[in-house]
Amino acid sequence: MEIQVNDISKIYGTNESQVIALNHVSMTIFESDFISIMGPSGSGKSTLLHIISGLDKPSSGNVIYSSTDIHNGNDKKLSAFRRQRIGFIFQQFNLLPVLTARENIIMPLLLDKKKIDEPYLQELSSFLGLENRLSHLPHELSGGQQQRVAIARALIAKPDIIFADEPTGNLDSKSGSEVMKMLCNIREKMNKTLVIITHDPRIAEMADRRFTIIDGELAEVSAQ
Amino acid sequence: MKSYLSFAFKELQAQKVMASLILIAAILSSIMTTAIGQSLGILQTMRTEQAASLNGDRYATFHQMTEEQMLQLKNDNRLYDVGSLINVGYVKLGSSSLTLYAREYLDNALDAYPAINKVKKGRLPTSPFEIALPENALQYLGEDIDIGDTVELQEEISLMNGTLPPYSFSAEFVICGILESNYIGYSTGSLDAVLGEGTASALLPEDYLLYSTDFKTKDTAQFQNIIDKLANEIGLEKSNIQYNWVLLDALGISYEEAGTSDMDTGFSFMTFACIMVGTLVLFAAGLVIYNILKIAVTKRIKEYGTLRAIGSTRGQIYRVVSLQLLILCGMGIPIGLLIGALSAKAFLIAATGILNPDLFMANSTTELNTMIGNISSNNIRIYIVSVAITLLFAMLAAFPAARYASHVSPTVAMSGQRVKIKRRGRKAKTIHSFEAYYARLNLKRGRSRTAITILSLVMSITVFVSLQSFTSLLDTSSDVQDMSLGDYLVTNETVGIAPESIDKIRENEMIEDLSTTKLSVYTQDKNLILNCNRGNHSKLQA
Ligand SMILES: Nc1ncnc2c1ncn2[C@@H]1O[C@H](COP(=O)(O)OP(=O)(O)OP(=O)(O)O)[C@@H](O)[C@H]1O
Ligand SMILES: [Mg+2]
Repeated sequence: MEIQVNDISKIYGTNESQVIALNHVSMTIFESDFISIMGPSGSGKSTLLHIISGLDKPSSGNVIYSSTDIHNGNDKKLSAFRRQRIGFIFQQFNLLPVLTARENIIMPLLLDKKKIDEPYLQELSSFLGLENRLSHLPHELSGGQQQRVAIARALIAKPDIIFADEPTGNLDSKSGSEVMKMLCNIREKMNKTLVIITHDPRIAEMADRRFTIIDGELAEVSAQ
Repeated sequence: MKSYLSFAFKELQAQKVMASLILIAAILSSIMTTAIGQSLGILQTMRTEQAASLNGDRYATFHQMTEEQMLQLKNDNRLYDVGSLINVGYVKLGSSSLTLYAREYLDNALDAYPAINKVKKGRLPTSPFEIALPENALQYLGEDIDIGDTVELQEEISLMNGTLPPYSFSAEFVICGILESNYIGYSTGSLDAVLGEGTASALLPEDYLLYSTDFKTKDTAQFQNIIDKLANEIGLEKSNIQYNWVLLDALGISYEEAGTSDMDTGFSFMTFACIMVGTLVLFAAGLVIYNILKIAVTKRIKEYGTLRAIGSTRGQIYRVVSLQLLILCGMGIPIGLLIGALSAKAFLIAATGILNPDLFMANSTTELNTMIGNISSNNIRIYIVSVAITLLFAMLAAFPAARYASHVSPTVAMSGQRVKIKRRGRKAKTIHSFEAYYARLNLKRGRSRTAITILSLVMSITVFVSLQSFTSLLDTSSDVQDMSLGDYLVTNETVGIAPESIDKIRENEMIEDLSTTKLSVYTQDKNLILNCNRGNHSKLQA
């Protein structure tokens, strides 16, 4: 599945308080691409990710998945699209604190009223080293474990593409690189598209294609 | 976990304070709706029962009918509970202003008159010339008379249409039973004696042997229509139709001569008070639920944002939030129903206790309380309506919070917790006291929340003020008390009370208030000439 990002702009606010977060951004994401986006704080990384993943609408321009404009449908359609085709990994993990690790992982399936693929869940949790942690509540897990649960949640519905906004931003460097290693392995094994925002140049370098964004202007770093 | 909806349950378990506060609100409001629903039910039942015991359990009576007309009514399939009686005659009781009416009830006709048919001693008459007398009539008929004794009554009977002169006769009767006296007799000046079947035909000439028939109509909506048709069919004059307006008013059946009856005052006042208090409580509970749920949702808004990001629809979020309230209602309402049902009577007794029992046609507060206690009020409809009203209010109160949660932007999940602040012209001011500045800023920023808090305050003040005025309204019931007969009533129908005597009474220190009525009594003599007796009637209040 190919994603076409066409001439996207995002403008927040009006008049004096107006902020141009994205300034005519275009890019193409090919199937099983591993993309990293770097840039200084406030440069528009998150804004771009939100728009590509259908969490937010652009002020102008469009995002085409295969041949459908994702922002050109009602909220129900967009929700179903996020539920089935996209996985998210957040900087603050964003697990639901009242649910156990297992319940957090299967939430996308519950929302979609799908049956749980138990062998796949087993495979994911053993791969992420969570077999003995499934009945724990998020606050009983370490940051790294929480982020691994979040990775499992992002993958459970077998989406085509994973978006991660600074997935290691809240982790120390050791568990951060552990999580990154697992993410890269899974991506390779399952052949998923991965778009990752990071401040960490080492992580950025793991990607096949690297982008930088400065003041809302996106540029691809040509491969050496 | 089988469904995403279990999330609602787990959310509740994690927020015990919020859950218990809302639970309390749900319990309180359902207690209130049930207790009030029940009370209204009890009041209505009481009103109907009272009406029936006061004036008989029938809708209308056709008077002065021949046997043929009576049988026609008896066999009419539009009617039920048809019972007939014959007026045998009446006797003036000694020097009192009371008249004793002797009637013969056919079959079960007496059942319709709970005020008359209570046997205190002995039994009801079964054969001709047997009589059951009300206890308070005995003293006028001779000393120490009791069951088994024979009384001679000098009776008189007249026809309503006046085509024949009144017919007088004298007869001896054997007392077979003594009936409980009822206070209604004193206020209407009439007492009722029951004669055994067959007495009338033995005593009265055929022209005077006329029937009165009580009945109810099966179709109450068509009541007046049926009455008019019936009267037409059997050829009965309108003046011979008597409506049991007390009962008809209580049941809300419309009829020709409808008017508002006095007895409405106590009942309608209580009804109004109940509904007012109930509405206020529901509003207060609604505000509590609204406020708490909104705060709870705001605190956890990031979770709802996350759910949206991983693909839940707005509807699903909406359901999760409303379900939290529904679970609490599901727990709270049954408890409330139970407490409400159990406390309804106590509630009503407490509320009516402040009012004059006269308003409810009871002799004393104790009698009123017994009356309330005796009514079985387990009307399923009341419970259903209470549940529906409580749920409706709860769901209305939950709507803003549910809507807020379901409309949260999924980007909230990505970015850290971000409180959205609307930009308003904010002037730069020197900050003298940081605490005051920050507090003011916070108030300004949660404008709707501040408004709600103020509204809650206003609501509680309203409840307080209205309860206050409610009690002062109750005080006006003493005015109603003044309207009832005074503490003592002095009557002298034959010669009246001389003005000098009235002045003398008035001067007495013990007399607080005195009112007099002049009355004229017209009687028809054998030659159909009306005679007028003037009397004087004084009410005293000591
Ligand atoms: N809701 C909003 N309203 C107004 N301005 C916003 C909003 N969200 C973001 N911005 C602005 O848009 C610009 C881009 O923000 P964005 O969050 O995309 O930055 P970022 O590159 O993700 O930064 P960071 O690395 O700190 O997360 C910033 O200048 C920010 O102030
Ligand atoms: Mg960001």
